[in-house]
Amino acid sequence: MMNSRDAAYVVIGGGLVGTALGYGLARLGHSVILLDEGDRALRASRGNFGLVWVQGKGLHKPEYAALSRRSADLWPGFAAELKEVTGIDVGHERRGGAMIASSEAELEGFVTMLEQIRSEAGDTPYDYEVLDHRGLEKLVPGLGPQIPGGTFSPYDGHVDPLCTLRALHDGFSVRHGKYVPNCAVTAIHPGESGFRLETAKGPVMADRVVIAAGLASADLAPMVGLNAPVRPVHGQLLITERAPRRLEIPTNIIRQVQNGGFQIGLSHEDLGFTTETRAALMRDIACNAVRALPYLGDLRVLRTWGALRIMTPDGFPIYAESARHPGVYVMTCHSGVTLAAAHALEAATWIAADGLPDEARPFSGERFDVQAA
Amino acid sequence: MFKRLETVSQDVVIIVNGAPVPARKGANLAATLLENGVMPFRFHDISAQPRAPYCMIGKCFDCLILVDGRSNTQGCMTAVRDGMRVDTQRPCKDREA
Repeated sequence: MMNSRDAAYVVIGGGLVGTALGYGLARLGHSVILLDEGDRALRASRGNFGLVWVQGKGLHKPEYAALSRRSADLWPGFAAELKEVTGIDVGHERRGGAMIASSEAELEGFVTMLEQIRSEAGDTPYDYEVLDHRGLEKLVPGLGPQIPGGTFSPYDGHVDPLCTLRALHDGFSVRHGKYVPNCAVTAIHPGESGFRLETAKGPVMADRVVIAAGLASADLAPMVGLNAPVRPVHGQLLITERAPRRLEIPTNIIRQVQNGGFQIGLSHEDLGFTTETRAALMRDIACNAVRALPYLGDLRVLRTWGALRIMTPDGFPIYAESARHPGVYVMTCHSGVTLAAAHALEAATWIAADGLPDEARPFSGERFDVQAA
Repeated sequence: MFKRLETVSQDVVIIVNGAPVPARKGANLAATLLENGVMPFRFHDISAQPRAPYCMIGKCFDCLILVDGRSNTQGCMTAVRDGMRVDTQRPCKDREA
């Protein structure tokens, strides 16, 4: 490196968001360098659940509900494109998804939330079904007798998140992007023409910079007048041995992955910057899953792991260009899997068009500038 | 392929792929199956390749087999019981739920 200009774009972050944006920019024919940390990075993209999910997202934020839906709609074509470009089948399926309610009160909460999102969607259709035990059991055979019911959305699906990350990396390289691992960024200096980044491997020069560094975005964004107050939310996941196909649609707490294992999750804890796992939590997650699907009780758990999700103060993505230093963007979000298609095919074009469009405005980090009283 | 160095008394019968096989109670199941020429133990869930024991000490998970209908049982960590039903394991997509 050390050239006068290394690339038109430098993307900071080699997770699902960074690779999707890098892939999208390279796909448009731009020269892109992707700077990644190493294997010990707190990488949310290696620990997530793999849902491509619309249901329940965007309460009081219809733009986010619409974005999630657009991305879910883009996913089938995007998965086909990744297959064509990289040969990797990311295992995308879209047969709808169910939220399993553990109690009547929770079911009521789901329904209130979905009704509200539908009312905020205006003229855009927002379909879902409310199901009693019997109705849900038709979609989720073997449902536990204590489960009162749930909801179903036709928009939901799932994907193999690790294959997706791999395919995005491969696709980025196929499209002539340059990937640099073990290259954490320590400073971003705006210059007269472009930006100079200090990295673990020396300085890098670029015309434009995209900060897509997950939790590290919180430290990087303020260097260039941006605000990305993200924090880590710990989630613990379990996966069972492979078993015959029994669960045809993904749910909010359990999905059967392409190879036959049941992935089980849904814990949310504030534990700081640790990906530790805890036996008591594993027990609770397993008990909850067996209550929903008693047949899981016969399966062996193969692995459990912890991951840090990226959480903004309101849970919605941050997409912003610096007003003080145009040409540097921060792009970070919680749902890197669901939004990967929109990031690659849509958000990359926003960045390439110089200046985010009106549709990105609701996601500006400025919404967090005013301190809560 | 495998032969015992000394003879041992066979005091029970296990059922391997439907056929009775004399065995010694408490013996290592994987060793008993190897002794009786059972091969392979299973077909891999994804690749469908035939697999058989490798490490015999519970680490490699290649000796997985159906024991009394229970899939993915480690043969090398299982003791022979009288009347035990052992079956070659098909890939999970070909098994009954």
